Amino acid sequence: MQDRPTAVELLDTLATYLEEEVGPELEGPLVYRTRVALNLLSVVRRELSNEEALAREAARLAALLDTAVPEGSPRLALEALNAQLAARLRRGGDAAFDEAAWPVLMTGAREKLAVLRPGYDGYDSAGERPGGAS
Amino acid sequence: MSGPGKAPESAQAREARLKAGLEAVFRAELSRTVTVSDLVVTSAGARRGNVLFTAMDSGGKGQRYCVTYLPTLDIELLPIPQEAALFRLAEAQGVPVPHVHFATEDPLWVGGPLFVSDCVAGETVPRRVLRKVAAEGTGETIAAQLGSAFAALHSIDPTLAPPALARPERTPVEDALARTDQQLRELLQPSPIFSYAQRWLETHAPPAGEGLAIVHGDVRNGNVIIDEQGLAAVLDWEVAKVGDPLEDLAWTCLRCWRFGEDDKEVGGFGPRARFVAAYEAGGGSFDPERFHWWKVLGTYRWGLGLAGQAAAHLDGRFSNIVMAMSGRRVGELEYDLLSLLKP
Repeated sequence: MQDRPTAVELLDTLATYLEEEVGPELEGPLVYRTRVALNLLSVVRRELSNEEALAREAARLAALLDTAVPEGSPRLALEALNAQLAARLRRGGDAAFDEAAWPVLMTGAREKLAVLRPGYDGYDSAGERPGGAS
Repeated sequence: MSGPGKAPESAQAREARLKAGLEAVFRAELSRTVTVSDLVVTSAGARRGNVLFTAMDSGGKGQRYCVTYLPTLDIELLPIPQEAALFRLAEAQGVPVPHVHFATEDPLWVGGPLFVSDCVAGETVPRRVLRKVAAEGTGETIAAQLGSAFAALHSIDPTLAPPALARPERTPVEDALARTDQQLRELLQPSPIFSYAQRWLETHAPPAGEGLAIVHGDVRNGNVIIDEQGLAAVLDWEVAKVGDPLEDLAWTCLRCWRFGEDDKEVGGFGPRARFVAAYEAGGGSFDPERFHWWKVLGTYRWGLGLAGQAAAHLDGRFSNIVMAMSGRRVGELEYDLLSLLKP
């Protein structure tokens, strides 16, 4: 058990430092890169606050693939399941499986966005397909 | 007004070298003795330089120009004289491009090949472009102007394309699928969504097209100059090739080039209807299914591109914070792909 500040609190401190102390001193390309750095910090922060998502995703993929969640850490289990699912979707030829996979993939995609870029899934491109509305 | 920069010495030295090189090349190419001044570096591109400058004749008459150059010969995608030839071909057909005055491959002047064109006034930085467009109410006009520009470009006989322009090995569709399949295999970690997309694209591949055209390949906010009247010029032709004209239209309409203006399908500018109507009025032929296929392909290709940037960051080929962040933008493209592929 580490002392406080926690990892998340340290990231917040770093973000405040970049924003309030470093930012005003910068000009040119460094302004843009520092904005990217701040964005990156907020991604890491949300990811650290959301670790149980890995286990949830592993459970969903295992159910779709009709298999058990592999032994080991959630991260390793998820990597194995992801590889298996990617290979099966790449092979194709099973329309029913593809159809069942889509909502599972979409749930995973939205969970990723909740860490990467909250709100990005507020727009749905489905309406742009031939024939229109989603 | 040159940028002050963080390393004033080297920036100054580079500016002096450019100025001397430009004065010499004006003498050699145009038999004009000019004084070059007011250099402004415009491109953020890592490889190519784009510099605006004033060339003043001895009579005191000055004019603004733009020089596009490479610091060395070995990083050329499309040879600069051929890119210049493409500008002229497009201009003759009515595509808005800066007028080219001359091009040379001689490294004597600025270290690599260069071409000099008119300096077209307007805005190019994406978010500033969208603010300007919103303030001036030119969005729908620009959507139509882009459709007309594509119609003009695609009406050029592709056999007239400069020889170095890439031609399809098989069909544009088959070539695109072979390339994405290769990139899919090279991903650092498998992506079920990209695998799904590759398979969908293969099983829904459109039949061989009605014809090939010269395609620009990267028309989007950031590669166009926008002024009060709307579209003033289309820039950055270095990935042009002979391909499927609908690939060009679809790329412009990807969500990743809308910069938040998501409901304006055409580059964040305006609706598809205006764009397509102008394209068809200019002689282009539109097919919504084929367009959709190329949009899926383009979204997927850009997702693979971002993953590739992250890989280049991680293995040290091209390491920086922007490339690192690219890896964490892949999820946006995955979401857009799934939305486009909703069963």
